[in-house]
Amino acid sequence: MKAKRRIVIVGGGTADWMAAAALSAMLPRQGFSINLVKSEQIGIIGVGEATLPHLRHFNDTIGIQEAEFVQATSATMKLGIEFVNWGDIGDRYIHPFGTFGHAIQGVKFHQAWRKLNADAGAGEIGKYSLPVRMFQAGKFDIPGSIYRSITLSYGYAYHFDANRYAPFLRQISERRGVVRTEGDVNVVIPNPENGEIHSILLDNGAQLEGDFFIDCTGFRGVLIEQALEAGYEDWFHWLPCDRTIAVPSAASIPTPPNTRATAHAAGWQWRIPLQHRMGNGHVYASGFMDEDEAESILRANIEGELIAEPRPLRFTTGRRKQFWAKNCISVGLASGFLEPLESTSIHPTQLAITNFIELLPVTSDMSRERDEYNTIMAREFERVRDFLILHYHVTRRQDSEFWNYVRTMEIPASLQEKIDLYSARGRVARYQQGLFLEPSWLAVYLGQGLVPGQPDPSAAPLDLADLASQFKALDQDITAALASMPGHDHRLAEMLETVSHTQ
Amino acid sequence: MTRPIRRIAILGSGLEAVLAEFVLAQRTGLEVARYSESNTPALSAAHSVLTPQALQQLEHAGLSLRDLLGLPGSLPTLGARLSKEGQTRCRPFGPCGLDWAGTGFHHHWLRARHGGLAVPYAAFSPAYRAMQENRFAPPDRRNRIGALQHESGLHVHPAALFDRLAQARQAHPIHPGLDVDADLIIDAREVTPGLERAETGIVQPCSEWTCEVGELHVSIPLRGETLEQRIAPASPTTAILPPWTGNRVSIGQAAHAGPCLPGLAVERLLFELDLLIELMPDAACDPAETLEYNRIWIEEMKEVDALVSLYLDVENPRASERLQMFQHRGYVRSLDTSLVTESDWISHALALGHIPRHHDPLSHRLDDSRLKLELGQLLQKVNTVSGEFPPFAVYLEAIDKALGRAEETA
Ligand SMILES: Cc1cc2nc3c(=O)[nH]c(=O)nc-3n(C[C@H](O)[C@H](O)[C@H](O)COP(=O)(O)OP(=O)(O)OC[C@H]3O[C@@H](n4cnc5c(N)ncnc54)[C@H](O)[C@@H]3O)c2cc1C
Repeated sequence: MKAKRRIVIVGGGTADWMAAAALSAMLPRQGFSINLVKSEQIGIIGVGEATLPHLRHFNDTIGIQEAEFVQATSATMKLGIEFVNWGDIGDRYIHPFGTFGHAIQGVKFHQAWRKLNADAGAGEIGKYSLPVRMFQAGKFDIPGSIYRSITLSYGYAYHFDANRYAPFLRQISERRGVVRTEGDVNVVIPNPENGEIHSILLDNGAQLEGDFFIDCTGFRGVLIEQALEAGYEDWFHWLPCDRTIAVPSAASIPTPPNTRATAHAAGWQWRIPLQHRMGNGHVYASGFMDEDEAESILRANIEGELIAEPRPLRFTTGRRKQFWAKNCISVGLASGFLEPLESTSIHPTQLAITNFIELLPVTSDMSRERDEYNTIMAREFERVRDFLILHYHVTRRQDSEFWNYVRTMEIPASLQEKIDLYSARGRVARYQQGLFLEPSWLAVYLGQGLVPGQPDPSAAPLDLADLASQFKALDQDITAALASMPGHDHRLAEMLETVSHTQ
Repeated sequence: MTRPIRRIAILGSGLEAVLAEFVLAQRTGLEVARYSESNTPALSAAHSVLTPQALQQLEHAGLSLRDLLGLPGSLPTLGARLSKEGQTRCRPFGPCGLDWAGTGFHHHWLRARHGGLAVPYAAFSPAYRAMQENRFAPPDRRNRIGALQHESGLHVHPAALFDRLAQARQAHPIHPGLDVDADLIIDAREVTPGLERAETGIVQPCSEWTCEVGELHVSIPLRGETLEQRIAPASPTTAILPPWTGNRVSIGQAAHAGPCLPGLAVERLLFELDLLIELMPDAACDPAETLEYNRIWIEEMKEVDALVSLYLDVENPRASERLQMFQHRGYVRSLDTSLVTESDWISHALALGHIPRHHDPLSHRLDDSRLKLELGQLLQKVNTVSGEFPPFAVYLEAIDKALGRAEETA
């Protein structure tokens, strides 16, 4: 019988337990052993709370029951993100997990909407998005079932307590054979022949050998950076926010089914509703604002009572130059960091794990897999980076040095081309791959008031009266669907009820 | 030039030009005129294979499958049969097998093959046996096996398709000194027409591809005759250059004269037209749209060239890198292109006999006996389904009846 291949995961936060749970669920048991080293001394970041719909797929793959997950992590449902004060102070828009309307006679909905809006007025484009209207009405239900008559698709994600997700995944992983070892990694021992990691030495004297190592040690990057020196590409000049102050406050009822991101003078503030509390944090650029001011802005903009002391954190936006070096991949904060403006921090963790599983080395020479993995991960990080920069750059705000900087800074050519294309006639650059596709880009372009110079010729043949009646019908369909949809809290309670019945 | 686009001029006398004229007139509502240097259409056998994707797009432009089936010579097809170095393999349209245990079917097949399975990959599509036994059925719910549904395309005679499209559309003659009056000029002049005919072989629902040294020889059966095509590397290798500058955009062979696989030639042209319509500017030389068109087009053509190079002995770094990875472990990256996808790579590479040395370890989530059982059961279902396809001749008779056509076209 062939010896089992040994995978060693180092960390103990969200990323490592996600890796352990996914690997133990996906890899054939007979071929692999999975060890996880967890430090008792070094804490976790633990603020990852808002997610993207892809997490549902991840949970499904691991075999997690939705209701159990929602209960265990005090999760609420998320239909999108509400952006306040981004285009200008007083502006407000929603980036929903779903589309706006549907194509009309082959013409993209937003182009038809622009035509009607310029003539007779059509109202906000969000009026024709089911998730936007659900969010505005505080409603929620699982897509599909009874709303099929409306041909509008929507997805949903979760807000959850990151401090509870990791223990939840730990239980699952340990049940599936993941072995946990306590200790801090003190020394990384290389293989003298090829420079790969041979083993790690813990502070308690234990030594762990492995064929493959997964570094989930957060910003420290104990294996990938301290030992293997994979390098870091810093994107500070495009995304100058580098600090945050996080603090929870009392929960609010009814619980809104969305994250809120409110722009301030030198950054922005998140509001993430959980079942038992509200997560808040002020992400700011220390080059434009000091910590005292950032904290007082945060405190002044929290609705409920604070339930803990504010916690400051530092970060550097960017990515690891090599996500995979030698026989080690970096996952989670160890692989890079993109501020959580679009809730994209946990997503790269998920992506890293799924790509690694797809490229699991089949021989001892893993150079091809490594190159491929590094290429794919760089592409993903860069596409998300461009999308985040868009939020800062496409603004009319001139009220602070920070906004003047981001509004006028030079941006990556790849993003400038996308903005130019939209500015001409409202077209969105076409990509097959990437986290954010056309509906997301549209939400931000439209929401932040980027107005195309010209109408789209494809919409020219559309008859205005006909358009008006189709838009009206769509609006009525959505109104009717909403009337029969439960409130978010109600639907959540129903879901939790199913868990108590099965226990 | 800032004049809004009202009038489009298409230059060309071949099928690509007439197809462009038809699609643009149908889908844009703009004034479209074609300028031709010759009265005899320049035709190429490359345009005689319509893939399932091309059929869908033509339908969208107003040319239905029924219309196309009614053209003299039209013959439904399930894919291609490929001969290389004395071995013959099939490449049916559509998927083969079903994905299990979180990984692609080809990995399970590879594992079984490494363990001694003799059944070819393509045999896990109902189209495989149908091609062997000269049977045919179009895809529909009744011959679906879970998520596995075969697909069908059509062989058409380029001259018949040309006549159908050119009906009621008179081309303007081009002569030296003519000043074409248009806001956007589309160059669709084909450079390598070539239509060899052979006596009719057996009427079968697939084309025959033969790989010879540095060349691909294709036979495309129609009703009444067979078209032949020789696909050779371009010499010198044609560069991929941005096709749109100012108010002039080249499409099809005029944009990139490199060799193209049967099926891909029409698909590529329809893709270009679709992209052009999506990005149709108000005024012809808007740099943002031009840039976007060129960006997408260049990426697509690089993929097409890479795929084509698998069939011809030409150096292509993209293809060799991808092929090395595929041969190593059966992996193809998710591509950003739509003309060539990762599943195209897998099916072409396997049809050409590139068998990966390793498979995805996830396949082992099914233990050996379970894998054997699943493969056996799937093969049985596939064979049962294809065994119910009627003989091709019977299917063709039924078509003739439905179209109200008794005689066979010569
Ligand atoms: C300000 C901020 C806001 C965020 N908001 C969101 C959000 O809204 N949505 C979202 O998806 N994500 C968000 N994130 C990201 C999210 O918090 C992280 O992706 C997630 O927590 C994963 O962190 P991690 O496990 O990689 O690192 P950490 O939580 O830092 O865990 C690192 C682990 O490594 C261990 N360790 C470190 N050194 C050693 C050593 N030498 N030996 C052994 N073990 C060691 C530690 O004990 C710890 O367990 C946010 C992050 C920040 C900074």
